[in-house]
Amino acid sequence: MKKRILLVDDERDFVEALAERLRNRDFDVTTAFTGEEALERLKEYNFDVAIVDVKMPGLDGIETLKGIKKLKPLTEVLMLTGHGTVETAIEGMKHGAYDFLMKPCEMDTLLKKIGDAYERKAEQEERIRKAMAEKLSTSPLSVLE
Amino acid sequence: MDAGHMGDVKTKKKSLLANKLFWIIAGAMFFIVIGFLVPTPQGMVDLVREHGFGKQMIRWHVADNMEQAAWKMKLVLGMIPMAVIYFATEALPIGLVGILMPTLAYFFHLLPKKMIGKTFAGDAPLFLLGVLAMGVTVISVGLHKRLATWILGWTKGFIMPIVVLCVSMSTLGSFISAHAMAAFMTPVMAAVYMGAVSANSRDGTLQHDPQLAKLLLFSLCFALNVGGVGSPAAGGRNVIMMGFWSDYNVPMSFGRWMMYGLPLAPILGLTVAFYMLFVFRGVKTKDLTPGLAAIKEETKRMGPMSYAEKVALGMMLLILVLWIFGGHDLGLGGPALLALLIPVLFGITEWKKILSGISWDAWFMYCGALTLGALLKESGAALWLAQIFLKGLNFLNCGKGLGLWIGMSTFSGLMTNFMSDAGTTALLGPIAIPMGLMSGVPGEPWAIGLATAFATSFAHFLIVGTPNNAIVYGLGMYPDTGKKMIEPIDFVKYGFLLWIISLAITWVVEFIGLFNIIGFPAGITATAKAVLMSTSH
Repeated sequence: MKKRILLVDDERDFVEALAERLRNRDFDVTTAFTGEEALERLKEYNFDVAIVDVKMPGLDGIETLKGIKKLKPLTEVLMLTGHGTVETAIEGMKHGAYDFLMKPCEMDTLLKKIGDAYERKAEQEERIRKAMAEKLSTSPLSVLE
Repeated sequence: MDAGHMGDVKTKKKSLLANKLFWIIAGAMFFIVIGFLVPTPQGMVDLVREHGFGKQMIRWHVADNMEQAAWKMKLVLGMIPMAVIYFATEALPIGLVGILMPTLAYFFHLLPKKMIGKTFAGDAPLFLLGVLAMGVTVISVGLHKRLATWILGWTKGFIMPIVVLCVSMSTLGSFISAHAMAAFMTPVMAAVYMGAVSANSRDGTLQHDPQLAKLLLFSLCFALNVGGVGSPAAGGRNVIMMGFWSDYNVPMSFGRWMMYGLPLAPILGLTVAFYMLFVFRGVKTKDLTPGLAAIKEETKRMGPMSYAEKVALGMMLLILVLWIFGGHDLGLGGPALLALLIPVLFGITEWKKILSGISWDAWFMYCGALTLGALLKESGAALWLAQIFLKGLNFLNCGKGLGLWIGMSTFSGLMTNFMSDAGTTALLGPIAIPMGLMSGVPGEPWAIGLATAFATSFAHFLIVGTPNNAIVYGLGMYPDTGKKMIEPIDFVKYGFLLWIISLAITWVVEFIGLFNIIGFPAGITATAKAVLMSTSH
């Protein structure tokens, strides 16, 4: 199954070029150019990994990250950062981001980090599934809760 | 594979059904009212006097006179609505409901203490323990995943994968925990769905096909449900019924059950497949091949069969062979205990993992069910209820043979949709056996017992009917949106007709076909009747 990626950055050219490169590698990519737009997309669609630029007009990277974690706690977030915003990316990791990436990023590094983030999400989901199945095995009525 | 919105925050609504305290009190009130407030009907006193239950209870020092014996029988009857309420509302964990049975038996002195303890330590409890332990090992080494991917991995097209899915799940469900299989296979089915609809979607936008999602999930769920008939290892309810037969000195062997049940499992699985293909004939996606790549991916990810998987498979086969050919002396408990020893001796599972993995809740419930069975049998309550039910069934002209089996399986099948399958067997089994014996038809009490137990595998039409339904519903989500693939009402919509079809297939294939082809040992009715009479005379 294709991994679902949400790419959030206000630099349109960068977003479109990166999205195209990821699609060529068989990812299912959705783009958003503001934090607000990203959260709207997230309400409708389930993403495995969100790649979020730290510096954006309107909702910035940290606020967008918080919004993502509030809406879909399992979606892993990679923070995109420039040299001047590494501190903010670290701040993001304290708020639940999986890792950060320096712009411009190497494709191999990006793919590795997406893969790792996806694995973590998959493991967490597997644990939740197991716990749910265990609960439903002993109490089918709990499915109505 | 994806878990959809499983991590999303939800707000909980408290319904009356969720008010555990209310139901605990309601159940207790039924017990108190029936046991202590309603006067003992003269009919009960007459029954314990005429059929010898009172004399036996006096001999056992559990009653001083006939009136007290009849009152004790009424107490046992009071436990039934209480158990029904607790099973249906889950007001108490099922294991605790099980524990309640011997507890009440001890404190109200309903049986001699030796007999109460025996229900927790005979061949049936050890068999159950082994079945549960085998499940822990099979699941912890991932053997169930391997078997499922082997079976489904080679299929292509549309009809073939559905047929293979249904037949294989119903057959595997006869031996391996259907709940674990449902938990593993639901996300696999979601991945198959995504692969199939993605390949079928044009212009890059995913076109969902909800009918296909329902076809895949319901096929899985219902096929696993019907697998419960195949062998005693399919579920505790079958073992409970075997325990009841043992109490009447007519134990059924593992192999004998398989002779009656195993041919029925794939037939029911095939029925599920064709019913589903007919009901969902309007699906837009008619090729599952691209989606089945997900199963191949899963097989690839697993790599070659590991040492642990090989040992677990060998252990399972050895135990099965011993259950079938091991003979009377080994019983069912003897081979089952190997499921506790082999994994530890061969180093594939830790002892602590087996201990923590065993569902003690289920074990206590099953043992409690055996206590309830003994209470109903020895107090005369089972005979009293059997006489009432039989009178009603005679009125409907189905008081014996096929009519009785149809009536009993319908009632059992209906009841199991509202409460646990083991609970249904625990409550109906002890009543069914004297009903069968009183009908005087050769083959009883096996025939009516099988009719009662088989129908508990048809909990198709309510989401809470069986854990399989709840698991498939709970884990069945569209990976991209996280929305549920099926609605609770869908179980009624698609499951009710299948419930009737499953019963009808059982009536025709089992009651009319296999019961006559395989037949029943000549002496069982007389032996069981002698046990019933030795209590009652």
